[in-house]
This record gives sequence, structure tokens and C-alpha cells, in this order.
Amino acid sequence: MSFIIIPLNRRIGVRNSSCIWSTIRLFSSETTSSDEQGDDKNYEEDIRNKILEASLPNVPELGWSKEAIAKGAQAVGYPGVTHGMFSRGGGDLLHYFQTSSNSKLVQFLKKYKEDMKENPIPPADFAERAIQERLKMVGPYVGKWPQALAIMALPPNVPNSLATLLTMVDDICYYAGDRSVDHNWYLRRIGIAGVYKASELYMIQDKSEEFKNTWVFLNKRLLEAVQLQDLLLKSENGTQMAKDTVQSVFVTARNILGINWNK
Amino acid sequence: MSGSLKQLKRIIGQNLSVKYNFLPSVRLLTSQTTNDGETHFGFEKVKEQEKEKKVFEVFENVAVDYDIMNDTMSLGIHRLWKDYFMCSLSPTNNTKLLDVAGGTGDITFRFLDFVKNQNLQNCHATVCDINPHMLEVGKLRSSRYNYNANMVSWKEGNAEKLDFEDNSFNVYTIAFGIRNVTHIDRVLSEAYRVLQPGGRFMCLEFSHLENSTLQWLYDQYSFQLIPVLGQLIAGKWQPYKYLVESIRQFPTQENFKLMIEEAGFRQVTYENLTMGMVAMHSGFKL
Repeated sequence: MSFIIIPLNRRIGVRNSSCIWSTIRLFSSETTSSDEQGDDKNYEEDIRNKILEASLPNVPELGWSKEAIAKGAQAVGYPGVTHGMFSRGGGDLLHYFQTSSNSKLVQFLKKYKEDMKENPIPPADFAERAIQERLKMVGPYVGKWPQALAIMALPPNVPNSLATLLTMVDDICYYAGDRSVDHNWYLRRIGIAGVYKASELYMIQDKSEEFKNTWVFLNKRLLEAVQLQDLLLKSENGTQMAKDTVQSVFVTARNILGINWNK
Repeated sequence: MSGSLKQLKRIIGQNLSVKYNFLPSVRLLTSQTTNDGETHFGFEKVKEQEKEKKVFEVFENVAVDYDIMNDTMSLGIHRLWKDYFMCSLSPTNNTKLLDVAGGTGDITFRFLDFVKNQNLQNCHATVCDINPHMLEVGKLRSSRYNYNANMVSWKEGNAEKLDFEDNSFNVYTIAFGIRNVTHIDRVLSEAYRVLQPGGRFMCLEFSHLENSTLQWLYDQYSFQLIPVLGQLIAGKWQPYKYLVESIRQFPTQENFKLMIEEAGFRQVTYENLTMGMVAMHSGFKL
């Protein structure tokens, strides 16, 4: 979420001081050149994202593969061999899907929180709604999701897939109103990650209409998680130990994704 | 037999008298051409205009024994390098390949095999080589192995000024060729010109080993053994002496990557094969 919020803050900052910036720019050629470099990087990044976005519709047919990317590249006017830009092939496509879905989720959560301002709902319900929303994004690709899970588990892709998962649960907890600074912070996040992954697994074999069974499953697991948390709270000493380990996991995840740590 | 051995001894004697003490200083040089219109031909310095002719003579000489020499010198590994090269490219439907310096068709035939195995549609390869003798070898092999003649065209041409329209190909390959040209930068900008947006430039070329001990071993092998093998198998010393010397003159992986970027390519990467004996560079016109 921070990768949405922080650029926003920056943009506001720039807007407030825009006249200062334009003055500086008038006198400094260096600023311009570094801007150009930034544009350059964005230019390549934009093309990459455009190709990957166009490749997603091919996934249900061709899977998370080079072929899907090649077809996507052709759809936006590039030759099929442009797929070579994505050295990890399906892994890169999947990572794009995961990160872009995460940022869509953040936008949804922000709006949802705004809508619920009048009559706030309990955090557990909020989390349930958030996980549901995120799982729904997987819906169109559910036929190829076992392949996606396999790709995520390949050693070179593990850091990225763990990082995207941890970032997502962090965002959910933050918007659910979790402002704890004790070990509960970690407990909630790990709990949500576990529930999310379990529901995801349930979902790939769920044949019910609009994944109704998955939502029931999700609800039950969340209830259990809440009970478990209560239990752990009553035996506080036991959880203290895990704190340091888990903290480093989350920091690492953020660093891998290159996302600013500060909320 | 004894006559040819005697001849070999004589040639070895002549060539070993030229010590390569200047090796380290040579390796520092990154640009191919010097200021006064001279360029490198192996470790020799020649006039720019002469290099093309000299390289032409080299390949005119080795064309017939090209394959057998490649196999002997690399212990057959050059086939794996080329296979891997084609796998990384992974052609798709509608691929228009320009294989520059591809006279004997090593890359093109792998491309055609790939197209056939994957059942790809609407693909075509153009082989371009400055040397008609190499092209002859390629054409001969093409008909011997029954490749579809409609899918390949053969063209004699200089990589520094290609006789093709802008944006007419989507893949440009050059395998073990770019080190023989006089102006690498011109070849790269021509490659950029003929490729359409999104097109891929791929280059396979001998390069520099990452490990200095191994580089030393490799140097011993190259300078002591390869010319001898050339003399024994193909009956030619000079072309193989040129071969190993030209490899040392070629820019390092990082420098060559910079040159490709200077030509306008983006997303430029390289991969070392067999510890850097060969490097595979790739870039995109975006």
C-alpha cells in the first residue's frame, strides 16, 4: 500500500512547491538530465507492463507461459519474439499479475474503508471481505492457478511470491484498522496469510457457483484464527519469542519488492 | 607424411618466434579502430580498408573445413552454444530472421528446425554473409538436408551497410561474426535500423573468461594448440592464428554491452556460456 500512498504524498509535496521546482529547473541542467533518465526507465517499464497486461487474457488458454506473453506482445503491435524481454517467462507474467492485483486491492480497500466510515464493521469482517475481493481476482485464472502455485514455488521465484503475499496481508491488516505495535501485529499478519493461502488452495478445486463454498470455507478459517489469537493472547509469554524472527521476515519482504517501509 | 610434419615444424618455429608479450596491453584496448585509420587484424595492425579484404581471405580459406574445425577446436561444444542460443530466442509465429555472418547456416538451420518442431506459421530466414564461399557451403548443406527453400533466402552483403529496408526484420542474429568486422558500431546501428520496434538483437561471440587462471589455461590452449590443429586438419595455420588473436581483441562483455546500448538498444543483457568462453548478448529495439 505504501507504494500507492507515498507517491501520492510526494505528488502533493511537489504541487505545493511547484514554483520552487520550476525555478530550480531553470538554473540546473543536472535536474533535467536525471529527469530524463527517470523517464527513460519509465518508458521501458511502461512497455513491459503494457505487454504483460495484454498477455493476461491469454492465460486461461495458454497458461503462465512464454506463449501467452508472445501473443500479448503481438496484440499490442510488437513481434512475438519480444517475449525474450521477460527472462523468467511465466514467472514474470505471474509476478506482474500478483503485484498489479495487490495495488488494485489497495485501491478497493481505501474506497471500502471510506464507504464504511459511517457504520464501521469489525476488523475480522473487514479482513474477510478483503480476502474475498483478492481471491475473486484469481477467479478468471483459476483453471491455470495450480500452475501458478507451482511457478511461485520454484526457487528463483520464491522471494518475489513470498514478498507479494506478505505485502498483501500487511495492507489488509492496515486497512482493517490494525495499529498495534506489539506482537499482535505479527500474529494478525501471519494468521491472515495462512487463511488466504488455505482459501486459495480450496478455491482451485471449488466447482460451486461463483465459488460459494470457498467463501464459506474462508469464513470458518477466519473464525478459527480469531479463536486461536484469543488463546495465544492469554498465554502471552509464548509469543514473545517469535517476534524478532517474524519482524525480519516482513522487513525482508518489503526490501525485496523495493517498497518503502514507512507507512 | 614426414614432409608435412617437417612443414609443420617450420611453421611452428616461425610463429613461436613472435612472442605475445604485448597481450596484457592489448587487452586494455576496447575500441576497435585506432586514430590514424588503422585497425586490428588479430594482433597485427592493418589499414582499415585492408581488414575487410584480409578477413575475406581468411574465410575464403576456411569455408570448406569450417565445420570439422569448429568441432575439433571446441570439442563439439559450439553446437551446444548454438542450440542454447536458439532456445533463448524461442521464435514465435511471424518471425522474420536476419542471420548476419551466417554463411554456413548454423543458426539458420537451427531456426528452421525450431520452426518445424513447434509448427510455427509464417516464418522466414534471410542469411546474409559478406563471403560467397561461406554462402556456397550453406546452400549446399541446405539442399543436402532438404530444408524448405521457400523459407530461406541467401544474400551476399556487408554487415556495415545492409541492403535491406528499415524495420524489415524482427530478429537479428550474428553468431561468431561481429568480431571480424571493421566497425562494430556501424554493424550495430545497421542492426538497429533494419529491426522493427520490439525486434530483438542477439549476438553470440567468443568473449573473456571470468577467472584469470582459467583464462591463462584457455590462452595456452588457444595460442599453442589451435593453430597447430588448423595446420594438421585443415592445412592452414594463419587463419586459425587470426581466429584466436581476434578473440583477444574483442571487447569484454560489459564493454560490448555498452556498445549495444549506444546503438540505441534497450533491455540489453548478456549471459556467459562455459565460464565466459562465449557470451550471448541480447537487446531490444523499443
